[in-house]
Amino acid sequence: MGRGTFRSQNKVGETMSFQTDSSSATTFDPTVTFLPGLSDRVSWDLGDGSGYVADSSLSYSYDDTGTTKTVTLRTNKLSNLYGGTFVSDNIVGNLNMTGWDNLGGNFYIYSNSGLTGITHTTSTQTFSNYRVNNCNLIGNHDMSMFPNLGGLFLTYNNFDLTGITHTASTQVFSQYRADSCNLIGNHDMSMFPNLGGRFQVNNNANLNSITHTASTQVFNIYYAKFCNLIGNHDMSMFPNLGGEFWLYNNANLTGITHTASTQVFTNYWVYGTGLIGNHDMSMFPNLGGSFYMSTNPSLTSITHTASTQTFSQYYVFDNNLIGNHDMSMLPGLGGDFHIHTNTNLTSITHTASTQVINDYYAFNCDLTGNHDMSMFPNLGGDFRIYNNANLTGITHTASTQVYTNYWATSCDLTGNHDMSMLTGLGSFIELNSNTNLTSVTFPMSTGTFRNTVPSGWVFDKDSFGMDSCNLDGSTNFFTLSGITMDVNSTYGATILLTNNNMLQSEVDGYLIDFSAITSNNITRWSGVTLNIGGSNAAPSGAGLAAVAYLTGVTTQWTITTS
Amino acid sequence: MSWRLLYNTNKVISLFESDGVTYTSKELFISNNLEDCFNKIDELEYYYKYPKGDTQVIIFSGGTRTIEDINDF
Repeated sequence: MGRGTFRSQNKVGETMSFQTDSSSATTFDPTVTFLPGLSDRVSWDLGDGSGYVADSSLSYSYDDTGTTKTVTLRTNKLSNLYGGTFVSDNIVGNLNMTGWDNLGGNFYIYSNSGLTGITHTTSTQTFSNYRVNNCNLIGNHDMSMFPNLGGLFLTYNNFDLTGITHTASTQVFSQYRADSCNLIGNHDMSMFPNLGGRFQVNNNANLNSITHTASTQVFNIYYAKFCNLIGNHDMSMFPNLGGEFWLYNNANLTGITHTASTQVFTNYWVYGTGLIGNHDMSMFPNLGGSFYMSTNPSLTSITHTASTQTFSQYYVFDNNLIGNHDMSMLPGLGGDFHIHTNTNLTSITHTASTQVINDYYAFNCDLTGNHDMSMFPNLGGDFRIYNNANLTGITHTASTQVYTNYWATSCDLTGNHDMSMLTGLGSFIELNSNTNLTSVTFPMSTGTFRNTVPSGWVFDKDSFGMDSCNLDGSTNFFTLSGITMDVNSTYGATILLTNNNMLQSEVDGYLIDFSAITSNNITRWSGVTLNIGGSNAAPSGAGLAAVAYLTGVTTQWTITTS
Repeated sequence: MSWRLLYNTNKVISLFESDGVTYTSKELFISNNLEDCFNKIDELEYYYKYPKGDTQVIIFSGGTRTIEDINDF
């Protein structure tokens, strides 16, 4: 590859040569443009003995299977050339563009999987596009000769690209992508005071830091996930950060410093990191959408400020949140709320939200005392608050949302547990191992109940699980007369009332109640499995009469008693 | 305490450990050994899932068993 001067009539001016292994299966269609207001002749020697083609743009098919050809571009002055399009032209090796000292505008050379490097010369032209993505650039890519780089700069998917050297430019960047390369060490962006839009350096496993300078541009994407950022990542120079912010899977990232931004966040994902202590988000009054800060084992708290944005996901599970987690400033909470497995979390402060909550996971924490959920009139779906050994109560408000399960096993629910306002309850209710739970007020539900399969870390599997509580005889199952016990489902439909230390009269009472409910709702209550044995007293004759009815041919219950 | 396998002509209805008396019009297999109940499920060639430890589940199907990890989070 190189430059030369023409010596014959049709060989005047300057040349640039490069190699391609384009074949008959593809179209070789490079295009060059001239400086605005200029036009000039261009001819191409395609390197296959076919002679010259005179045009600034080509569309040619070689008659071979992909041998390497040397293509020579000829024009009067390479310095009159401005932009170029060499997309998917099977360029191989290094492209020497030394004579292009007015390169700018739109330079497209992406999708040349054999292109290993580009040699540029200094140009003060402004760039709108510089796209060299999906090539095979190797080592460092030197862009230090372009003081007006801006617009869209795309080098992603160059898996052996280890660095990019820039010089200062005040141009506005709407996209800067160097993701899925092999950037090593620090990536210096300190020379771009107008960086914004979409910034991606994600999936550079050896990238340890990124140096920025102040920019007031709006960011709608900032991705540095799947890198190896080390220590604190300073974002304090970006007052208009928003949109999607992904820094997840940086195990050695210990902190992120933000400055105030009023931009709307639709994603804030910082999970799988080494964040330490409190993570301050008090500078983001429009945080919302999908908030994902889980599996940060040294993260002890998160500080929010008021935001009226709607949340579709709020994931802070598997951290080490300590004490109270204050969410009172987030009235748009909805969707999936996962705060489980924070073993030092003792309470959560919510504010009213009318959003539909599909998942509420607060299991495996240390919620203490009463957990107030009275501010959620659209709570439903999958509710899990099990394994909170000091949780003595849960306060609900009326909700008509459908529940797929309600799981509060192994807490310390005390006295009566009022669920009467949750008319959409269905599938299964697990309240096992609440040793001070004396009764449950069920809703007037018409839901369908069935046993479940083992799931997660808890193996409760009964339609109604109230084993090892302290039930007295006051729980009224008649309010559930309208439900369907789906005994024909894969795992049947079981009521578990074992080990409640119930008196004989209390056992009799429940058996007689179930007999009455079933006799009035044969199609929906037949075939149930009931275990009311264990530490409970054996039934008396009255109770056994109810057993005889329930286990008869018509009703087909299976009942285990003491 | 004993293990009780409740089943009918086409599926396992319940497998549980209990003491006391079980009243039913369905088939009931009782053993002091959980493995005996598993063998009975194999003999019946029914489909059923039963937890193994904290993170796995035994899947019975057609007389054979497989063990799978539970991972729904």
